[in-house]
Amino acid sequence: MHKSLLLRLIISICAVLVSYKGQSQTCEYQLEGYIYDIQTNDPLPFVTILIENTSIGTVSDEQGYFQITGLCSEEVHLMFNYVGYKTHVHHHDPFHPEPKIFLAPDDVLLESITVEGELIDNEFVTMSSSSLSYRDISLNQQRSMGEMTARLSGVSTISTGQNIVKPVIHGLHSNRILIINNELRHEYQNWGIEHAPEIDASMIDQLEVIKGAASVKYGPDALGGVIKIKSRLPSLHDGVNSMLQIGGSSNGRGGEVSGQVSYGGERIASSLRVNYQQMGDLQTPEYQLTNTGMKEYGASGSFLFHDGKLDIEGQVSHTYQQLGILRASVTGNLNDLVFALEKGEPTIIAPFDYTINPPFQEVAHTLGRVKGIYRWNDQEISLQYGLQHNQRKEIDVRRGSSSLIPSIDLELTTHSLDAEWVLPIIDGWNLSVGSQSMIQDNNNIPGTNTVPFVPNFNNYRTGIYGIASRQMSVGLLEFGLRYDRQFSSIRGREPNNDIFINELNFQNITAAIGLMKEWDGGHSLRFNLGSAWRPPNISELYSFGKHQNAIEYGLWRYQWSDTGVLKAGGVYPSEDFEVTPETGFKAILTYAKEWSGGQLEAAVYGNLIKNYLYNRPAGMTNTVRGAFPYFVFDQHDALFSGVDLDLFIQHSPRLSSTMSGSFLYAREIENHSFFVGLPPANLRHSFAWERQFSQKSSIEMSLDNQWVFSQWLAPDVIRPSAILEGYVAGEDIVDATTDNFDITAAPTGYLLTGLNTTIRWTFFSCTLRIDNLLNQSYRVYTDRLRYFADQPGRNFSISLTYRP
Amino acid sequence: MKSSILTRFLFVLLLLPLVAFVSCDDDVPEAEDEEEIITDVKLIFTSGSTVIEATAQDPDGEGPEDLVVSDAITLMADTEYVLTLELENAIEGESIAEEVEKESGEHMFFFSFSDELFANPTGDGNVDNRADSVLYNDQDGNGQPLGLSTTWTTGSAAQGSFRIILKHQPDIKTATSTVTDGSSDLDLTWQVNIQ
Repeated sequence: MHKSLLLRLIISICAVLVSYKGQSQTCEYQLEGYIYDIQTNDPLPFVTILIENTSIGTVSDEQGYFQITGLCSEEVHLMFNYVGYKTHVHHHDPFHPEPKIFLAPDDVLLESITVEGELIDNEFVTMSSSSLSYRDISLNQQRSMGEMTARLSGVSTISTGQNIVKPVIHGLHSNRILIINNELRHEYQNWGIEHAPEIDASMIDQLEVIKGAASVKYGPDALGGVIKIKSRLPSLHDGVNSMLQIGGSSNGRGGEVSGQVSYGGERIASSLRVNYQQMGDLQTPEYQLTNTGMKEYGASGSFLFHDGKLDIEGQVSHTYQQLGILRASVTGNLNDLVFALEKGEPTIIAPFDYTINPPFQEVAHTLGRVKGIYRWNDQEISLQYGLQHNQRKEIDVRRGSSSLIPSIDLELTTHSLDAEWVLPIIDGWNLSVGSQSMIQDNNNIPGTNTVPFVPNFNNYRTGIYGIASRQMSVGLLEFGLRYDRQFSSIRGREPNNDIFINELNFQNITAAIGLMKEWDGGHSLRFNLGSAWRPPNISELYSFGKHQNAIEYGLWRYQWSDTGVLKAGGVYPSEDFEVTPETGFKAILTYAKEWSGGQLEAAVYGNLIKNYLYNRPAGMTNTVRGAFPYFVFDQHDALFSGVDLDLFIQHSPRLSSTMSGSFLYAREIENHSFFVGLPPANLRHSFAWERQFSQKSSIEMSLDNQWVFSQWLAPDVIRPSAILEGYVAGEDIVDATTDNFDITAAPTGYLLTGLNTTIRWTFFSCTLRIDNLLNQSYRVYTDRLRYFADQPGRNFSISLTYRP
Repeated sequence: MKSSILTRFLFVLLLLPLVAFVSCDDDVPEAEDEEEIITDVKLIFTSGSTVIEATAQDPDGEGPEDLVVSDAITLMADTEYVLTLELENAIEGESIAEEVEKESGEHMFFFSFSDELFANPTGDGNVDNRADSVLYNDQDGNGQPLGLSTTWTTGSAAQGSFRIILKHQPDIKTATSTVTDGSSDLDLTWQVNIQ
């Protein structure tokens, strides 16, 4: 039965291929694209577009859109001309339809650029997504990738100081969101809030966030959304280009150097990029943040080969980071924690230093990929192989502090193979099907002198999907369906060094449906309902023992006895304790309105997560180190819902405002308890002003204000001193019935002001940036170090770019 | 979990190209000597040929089972005792006391006890105030006290508590560092009867 179905499918696919083969190759090609101002990202109307050496051409409309039909060749040179802007020539080929052309004004240093789209973007257009502007990317390249992402509404960060920053989409992070780094799922130790993605922000040229449950296209983990990051591929016909940038910052006395060389020829283009950054201890308005320095270097190379219908692109990159963690954030037992909290400032403050001592992390990520795309008629097949190697060493303060022996030393190798076929349009339906396969090998590197709770494992995963869309009378309708299967073989050690072996099988079906409707007057409405899933991660299953200031037991490390007493020890067999994967259902409704002086976008979402995995308080235990509360991983349903707002207003040709805001409401459904560390409501406003003095010089300024509220949707506070006092009095303040709790109240709200100035003159541009202009002392609710220290104070940074 | 032949077929088919040239090892992580955990603590009070011992044991380390602290320590009145501390990691059969001695420059024991439990030192110990008297018999390389060996002289009959805290103070152990500096490797309390 199944076999006959498969056979029929193959036959019908072949029939489709054959039927499209016979089409004539006359002058009926067409192309389309959009034109924007590179500085403001605004659409540029009335730009003249001409096919080189012909008289065929057109003019862009109010949305910056242009379309040329009746072309006899698939590959042409397009010329863009507009008064006051640099003329730009773009080599167009069918692999990159809908190019986005960013024209640079005559009198600025920037060159006009083309951002080429995917052949046919199989994204769900009904899902809310937003991209970071060119200006925001270049202004934030000295920061972390997480902080850069958080410039977008609905996106925030969860961090351990300034060096370890993870992006959060609509309240979800780690392996509940996906990071697509240069078209590969970034595979890293994504469990735990202190493992940031090993991505160098200075290598990012494009950043897009998809805020829907996008599992259908990208596979497991995309419950909250997807962050897509790209380094720009070199462009054909671009000649030789180079760039050199140096920068420095006052807080942390940091410096950064980066350089780039690229060549774009007729058929081949390639580029090489290097970056080095180092920083010492940061400083708050009142004291030094000891051991918060960092060191980072990276290099990447990419090539593009283009011949007729075939495109081959390849990329290699390596990133190395050494990330210091505030020394005073390491506490021993509850008593130490009480001392640390009562002190109000870090318990260890030393003079400024560049040296990075324990605790610190040493991480490296190497990526290589090759992708081939073949296109004929209106079909496309792409195949991509990716190899990623991730190394993570965590060096803790341990007995024998002089030793730099890591207490976590892991190596993760991932091979992936992605295939996609964009089918010809049948009866108005756009169809694509694809498959993604992955083999992953995680190993502990021996020599940590501590029994690892992270086992060695191999993951084998494969998924197939299909996506269809069609313009209907009600609007644009989209469907997607996916099937995933994962097999894991796990081999680890129990605390007494006994060996355990688990084998796990997961499979899941995910689906999505969406509708987009546009009305006259610039109104549009998008709705998307999608499902997503993820298998539990390693720490959720295998955690055992002290982690930060509490003791944690993973799902397979504990058992409640009949009398309600918790027993933990070895690993319980997976047959007895079947773990249900988390499944999320996310609905997102987006309203957008565009008018001549601005644009507005508002999104409302609700994300119901079945079997949400989290750790909850379960009791108290006394150890040689003193008494500790302990937490167990458990599964309950949870709801994450909220609103995102974005508004842009052009006040005058020189002055514009950008505003954004987000609010998140999240609860565990059964006990109605709040979760610790979810982003509070926040508002952001930015004034941008620019002026040109002469043909070769210009100035741009922006004033940013960010207001972050105190998180009022936080769980109750149980202070460690109360836990200790209770414990001494023979009364357990924390037991199995205790709700989620935090150890201090959420920090108060704050207003942060920043000022940026960019001056351009001939081949040079110089950016001066002031963060925390008013030198405020404040703490961030989503930073784990909020218990111990303030955030850094005022920082001046300067960067100088030379682009001959 | 059951799966149809079709899904199994697809799973194998799609993974095949990867499996063909990727090999995964099936290694078990190597056994590690756990060096961080203290499971057994022994207090040995010696006065001449009299030896009095007290213990605290936490066989499951960071497991949820509570620590077992031995019953009250009974000491004779008006007697001088030398207290020696033994710390052991029973899982690995390793002496942590030796390790602490080796790294004496970054470790220090602090003691607190019910007021006037001892004739010498008097007071309530150096947990609340570092300057308070505790009679250390050992020192680190910088002349700072360590505390694996200490001397105690009991007074008249009394009852009270006796608390020992081992602090790990890398780079921060000084003549003035206190119990609030660094992190605690050990924090235990016994009852003491002096009769």
